[in-house]
Amino acid sequence: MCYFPALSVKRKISPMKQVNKKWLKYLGQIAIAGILVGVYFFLSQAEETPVNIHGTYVGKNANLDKYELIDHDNKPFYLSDLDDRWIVLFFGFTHCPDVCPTTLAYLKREFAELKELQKYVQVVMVSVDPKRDRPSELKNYVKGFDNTFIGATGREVNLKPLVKTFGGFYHYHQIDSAVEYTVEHPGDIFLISPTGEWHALYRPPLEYGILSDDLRTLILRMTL
Amino acid sequence: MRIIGNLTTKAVLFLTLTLGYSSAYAVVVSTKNAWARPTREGAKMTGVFLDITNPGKSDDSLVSATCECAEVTEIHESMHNHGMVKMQRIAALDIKAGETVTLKPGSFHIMLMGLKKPLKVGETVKLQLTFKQAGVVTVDAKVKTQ
Repeated sequence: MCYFPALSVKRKISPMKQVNKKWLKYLGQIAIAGILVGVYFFLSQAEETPVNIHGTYVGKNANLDKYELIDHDNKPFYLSDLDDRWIVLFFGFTHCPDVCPTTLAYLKREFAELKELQKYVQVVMVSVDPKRDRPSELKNYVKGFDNTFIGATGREVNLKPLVKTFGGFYHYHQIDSAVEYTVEHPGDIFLISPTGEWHALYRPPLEYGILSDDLRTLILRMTL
Repeated sequence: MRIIGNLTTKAVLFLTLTLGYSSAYAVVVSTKNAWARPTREGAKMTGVFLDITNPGKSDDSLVSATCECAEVTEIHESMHNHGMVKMQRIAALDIKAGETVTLKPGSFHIMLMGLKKPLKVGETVKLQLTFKQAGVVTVDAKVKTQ
């Protein structure tokens, strides 16, 4: 049998050799198989990235309940405690005079953009320099940008694997400078869903509006 | 004596000409858009950013910076590499002839360390930048958020 009426018509007009007909039949089947495979991949892709976002989609369980931290009030704190909100996480340290203030200033602006949706989002800076960053200093530092931001740090045994979860590391560098040492750390912003999934990452240079736009899309989809 | 006198005259003439030449073609750099990031009570460090242009015909470099507002002032660079960031002190920042170098967040910056008091939005901090060729240039950096 033939799948395409057009082919049947063609057959009536000029009958083809048996071998050609067979080839056409195969071609038709291959085309259908191709379309089906395409549709399958399209659908599976759509399932993985339900909405289009500006950030780089990751979609990986972050196991945030495994890493005990200390918050800026010196209390035990797990990122998984914030399971009712989207977490905007980044790693830094308070003696970081350029990259971290740049990121925090960016987050302050993006957070302000969210307006009525702010309650669904928590910005957290985790310091990877616990030796210098006492909780009180951390509090002063993050609150200098926004009063709702959380500062946290922890012991190396928890910090190292936490940073590794997000594909990074941190390393102390002795430099010939009055700052004595500086910390190499991830510069990306990590977005975590309320279910604890590492949803996306944002790599500098950060364009204004993209994070708040993504959060708005994701929150509205969730609350609909 | 006459020979020595002649030599002296020549030397004076030579010096006058060379000095005259060098001052007529003195290397200058111009700066603009200088700003410093404000700090909170207790914060000891911040960054200063600006554009430095070398309109001359010979290369120059920024070799040091000082500010009365801080104990130490250094030239630093933030480097991004595959999602990781680190900062390093640089000995000199080259400003090639005819080029403009922009010191900006996430890149080159002047770091003020050991701030004597917090920098508040609307204030101005005075910095002295020393260039290898152009010498000392004073810059007023406006304290503001980006």
